[in-house]
Amino acid sequence: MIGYTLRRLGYGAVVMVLVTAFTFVIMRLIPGDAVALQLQETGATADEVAAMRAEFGLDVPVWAQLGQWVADAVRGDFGTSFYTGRPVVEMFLDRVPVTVGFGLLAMVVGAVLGIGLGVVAAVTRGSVTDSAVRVFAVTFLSVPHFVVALLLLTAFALWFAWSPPIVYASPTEDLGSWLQQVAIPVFALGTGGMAGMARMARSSMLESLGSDYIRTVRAKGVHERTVILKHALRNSTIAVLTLLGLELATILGGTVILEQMFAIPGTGQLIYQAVLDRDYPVVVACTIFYSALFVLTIIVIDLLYALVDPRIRTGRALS
Amino acid sequence: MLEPPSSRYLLGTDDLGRDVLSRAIHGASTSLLVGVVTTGVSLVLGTALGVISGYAGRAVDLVLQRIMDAIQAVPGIVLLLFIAVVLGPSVQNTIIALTVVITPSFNRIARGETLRVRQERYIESARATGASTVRILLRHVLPNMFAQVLTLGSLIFAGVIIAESALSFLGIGAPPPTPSWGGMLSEGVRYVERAPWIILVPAVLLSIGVFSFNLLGDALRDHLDPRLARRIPRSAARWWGMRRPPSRLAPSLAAAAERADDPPARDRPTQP
Repeated sequence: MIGYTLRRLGYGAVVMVLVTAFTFVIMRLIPGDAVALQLQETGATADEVAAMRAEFGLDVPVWAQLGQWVADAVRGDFGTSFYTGRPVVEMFLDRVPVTVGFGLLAMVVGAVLGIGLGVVAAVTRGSVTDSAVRVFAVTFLSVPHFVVALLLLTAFALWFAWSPPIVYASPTEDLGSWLQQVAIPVFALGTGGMAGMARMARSSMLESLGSDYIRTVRAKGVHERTVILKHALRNSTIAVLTLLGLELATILGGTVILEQMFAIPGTGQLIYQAVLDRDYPVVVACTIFYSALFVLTIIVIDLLYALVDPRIRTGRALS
Repeated sequence: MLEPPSSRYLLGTDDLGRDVLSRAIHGASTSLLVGVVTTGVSLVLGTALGVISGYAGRAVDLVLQRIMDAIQAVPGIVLLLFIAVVLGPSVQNTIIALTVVITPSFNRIARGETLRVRQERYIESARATGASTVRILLRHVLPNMFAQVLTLGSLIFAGVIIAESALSFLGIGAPPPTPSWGGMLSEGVRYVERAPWIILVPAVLLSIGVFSFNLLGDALRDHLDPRLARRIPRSAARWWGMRRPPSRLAPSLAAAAERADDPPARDRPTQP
């Protein structure tokens, strides 16, 4: 298990090094950098441009820039924004709680809805309810989350003349306003995750319900509700939790679009804005942070999974 | 301007007085163009890389797969934003960005199949009779993965349509005068209350398109080779969210996810 852990972390490190190198090099190789963009309208002379490039450290070769960046990053300095002049780490960390709060809520909504629907479908297998759940799930799998959000926005605006608040307030400041703001994006993201979760919950519930121990429990005369909620559901949770971890990536991606749409000042909006402004340090650092978060989560879930289920650890997957 | 649906403009007009129906129809061509080209290019590219990587093994495999892992480690939308803005907004650049993002999916499947087929007796026999590597790859290895790659292609197509709309929606896909569903959605947001049809039309078309290609993928899988039905996870359609972990990073998880997508036989949908 220790060897396994070290190998996974080693792979993770290799992947992160590659991501860093690619991101950095691609970002610097493109024509039209931030300096040119900023000085375009002011009609600056060539000397001024050169001076500004020197100030931002853009006048040395890409490889030297990468080396300098990595050296700084190791010391916790991921650069400063060209536009705001603030350290990137600080900007990112400021916004993390916003995205985490909203993302977690979406995840919980998706899991609760998904597991609930999955269990209902499994219990009523083959009936109209089962088919209805499938149609419901497939619908949300086919309608992209930003379209779900847009349609909800339209519906609320048309029928109730309601739209989310324009100015963001954190939940500690004004819980009601926050809830109103995140309600639609949370629902849109959550239902996206719900579909997969429901499918998974249904199939693993069916698997549990068909197993011998459930027959034993039933034979003991236990109430059907207890059989389902206590014995079968508990055994299906592991599989569903795995999916929940994987769902994180979807949520991370979803926040970028939805935060932009609903004016939620999270990390997604930060990276989108930075990308539009060609704010190199922010884009590079955010891309790397996002990837690191993803890689780390994936590895942690993988290790947990291997720990819980030794069959996988020793299985073919490792060869 | 902003005229409601009438016999003259079947689905109404938008803020510039343009007919929503005809824009939606032309938007379809943008979406489908991006979908076809992206899926086609990355199918060929990904399959080629996967086959070469799987068949050559050793250093080639190691290097190629680490690069693929790195691409997959960046959340899809972040990578798309990154590439699309680096290159600038245009249909062509949207295609390039999407190709980079989805090539690893084909690579993964092709490589896995190649590794499996490589050990088969008939490959060994072919090699023993003096067939060249190219011949073995073309005649014996590639035909084996045809069904899977095609099925994945259909599911990926659905994802590409979503991604293209998302990029246009964010304003970094096809530039404004070009009609596209995503662009229509973002332009319509401002007139939600006065002219909801501007949003409804592309939203419905987009959803139907995605749904159709998902269904096509499922049907292809069942039709082409029922024996292989279990190998392509249904949720591959959701590559956009990158739910599938890079396999070398998380083999246990990948295996678990694979099993999750592969419900027990008795769970097959029962026909009424």
